[in-house]
Amino acid sequence: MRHKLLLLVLIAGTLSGTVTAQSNSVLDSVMEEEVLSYKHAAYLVLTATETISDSTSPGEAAERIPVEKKIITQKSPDDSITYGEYALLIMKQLDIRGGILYELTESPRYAARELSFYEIPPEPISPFTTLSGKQSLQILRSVLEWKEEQQ
Amino acid sequence: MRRGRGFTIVFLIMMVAVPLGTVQAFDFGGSLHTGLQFSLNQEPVFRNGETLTLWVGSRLGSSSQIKAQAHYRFSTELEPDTVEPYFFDLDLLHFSGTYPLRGGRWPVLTVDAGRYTFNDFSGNVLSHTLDGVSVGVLLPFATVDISAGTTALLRKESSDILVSKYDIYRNTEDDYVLAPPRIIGLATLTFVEPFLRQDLSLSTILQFDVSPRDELISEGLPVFTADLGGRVNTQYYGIGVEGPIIGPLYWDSFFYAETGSLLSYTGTEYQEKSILGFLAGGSLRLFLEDGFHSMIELSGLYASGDADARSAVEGNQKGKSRQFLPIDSPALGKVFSPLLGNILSTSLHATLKPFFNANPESRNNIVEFAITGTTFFRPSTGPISVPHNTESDKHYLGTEVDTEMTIRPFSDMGVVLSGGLFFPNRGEGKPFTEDQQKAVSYKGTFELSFRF
Repeated sequence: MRHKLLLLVLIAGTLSGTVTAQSNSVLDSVMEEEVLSYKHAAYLVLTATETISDSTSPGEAAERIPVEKKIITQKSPDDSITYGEYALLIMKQLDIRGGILYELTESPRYAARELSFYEIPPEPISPFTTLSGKQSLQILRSVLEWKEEQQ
Repeated sequence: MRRGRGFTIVFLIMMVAVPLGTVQAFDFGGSLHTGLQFSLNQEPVFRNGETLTLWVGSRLGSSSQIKAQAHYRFSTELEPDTVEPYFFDLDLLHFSGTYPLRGGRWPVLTVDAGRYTFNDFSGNVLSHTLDGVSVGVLLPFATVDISAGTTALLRKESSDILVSKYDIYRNTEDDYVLAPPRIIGLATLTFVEPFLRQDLSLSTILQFDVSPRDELISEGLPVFTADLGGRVNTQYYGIGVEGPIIGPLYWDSFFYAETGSLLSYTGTEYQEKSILGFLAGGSLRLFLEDGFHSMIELSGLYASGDADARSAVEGNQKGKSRQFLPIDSPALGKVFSPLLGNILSTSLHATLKPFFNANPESRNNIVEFAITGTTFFRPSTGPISVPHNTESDKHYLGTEVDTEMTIRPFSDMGVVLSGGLFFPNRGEGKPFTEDQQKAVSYKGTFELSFRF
């Protein structure tokens, strides 16, 4: 919970500009990314779920994605990640239940649909498109806020 | 256009709607919907329909997107057998773009083109799919939107626009595939919170009837023809206000004046007469988040009538036609749903989400109940658009109670159960004969939908 809140504060602060970029080099790198990389997606989601500490490097975070969950296969840390894959990472790591097709397929496509059902993000994004770092932070922030509301 | 031309071309339109170069932002999906309906007014009607809807969409760069949607429906009706069993149509082929004009936040140019829904600000005069173009400008203090569209390419089964006798005639004739042609222009200016957090909207709607003249009655014809008429051109000028009052209490109100022209049989011949009708409405809404996320709404609608008209559509006989005639009006009830002309209705509507927070892990267990009670009057003793007793001078028409329960156990599956009961005025000089309305008319529906 502490890490979750910390990340929320960092994301909120970074997006609003009240936290300097230097105070968190990873978030700074994420913010500058035009296309979100797998390692940064992994770092953001695993930090939010307290699976890793925020001192872990993004490269190590990518390797910590549980192999048995088979969320994303055949990706190196610097590869780009699609919105659907990012949504699947979020759904799996945050244990969010989904609809019939998501539970049956556990695919990026239906993970993106699940988030759209909760109006995250406000405008639907194609599961096949890539995200900017800033977009990924906004989506994760919305999911975490929504999860907090549910508790 | 007469029957004989195939519509498989819309499949091709859908396929080329999304340029292959934008495949990364491409998405697609669909839904399956099944519906069962039982209704009883004079004769029991059992209806079943299965609908398959498919859509494709894609972003075009950072500012534009395109979406196409079509459906295929299979329907059966046990008694009477009036529905077309197989039906295919293109519902949507919509390009939309948002472009900042000076590189900053304001002003922003919006462009829409293709087949999509055109709405007036109240939704009571026009809310219908058309083929056309809209251009808008968003400013911090106002939005301006100018649209033009046509019904000429819609299939007649997909058109709910019944402004003239020719519209009604063409809807029942198998020889026609497309809806009666009309050109509709709409301009809306909305000021964003100019005072007391209220939004102020001004609207002008122009409807031009371009139905083929050789299939219409001409001015000067000395013989009355019950089923055919002339062109009906209408214009609407509206003003509306909406916003919060205090706390969770909101309101909206609107007023429309309608002008136009139509052919009228004066007793000796058909003459072109003008239209002057009025529409007014408003609602109060109370949102209670702590009370099971409930909402209570009290609303009213007034649409002027013409006491000496012969019928609700093109029934004028003397002087101006005072009957308000919308281009397309919303359903007023599940069972009793006349066109919005010569109608005064008051309605109390409540919705309830009792299990909204039942499962903190997920919002999947959403159940919503809705109940609506509506009383119907006619402001003049003139005609309404549903069969009625023309000898009656009663203003009170009846009361309807509708209920609906929506259950969404999963994000991709939903069930809707709904029912309605209409109790017509059965007093002395009643507005409906025994043949026109039973003591109680009802309708029940079951709908199941699955998105994929």
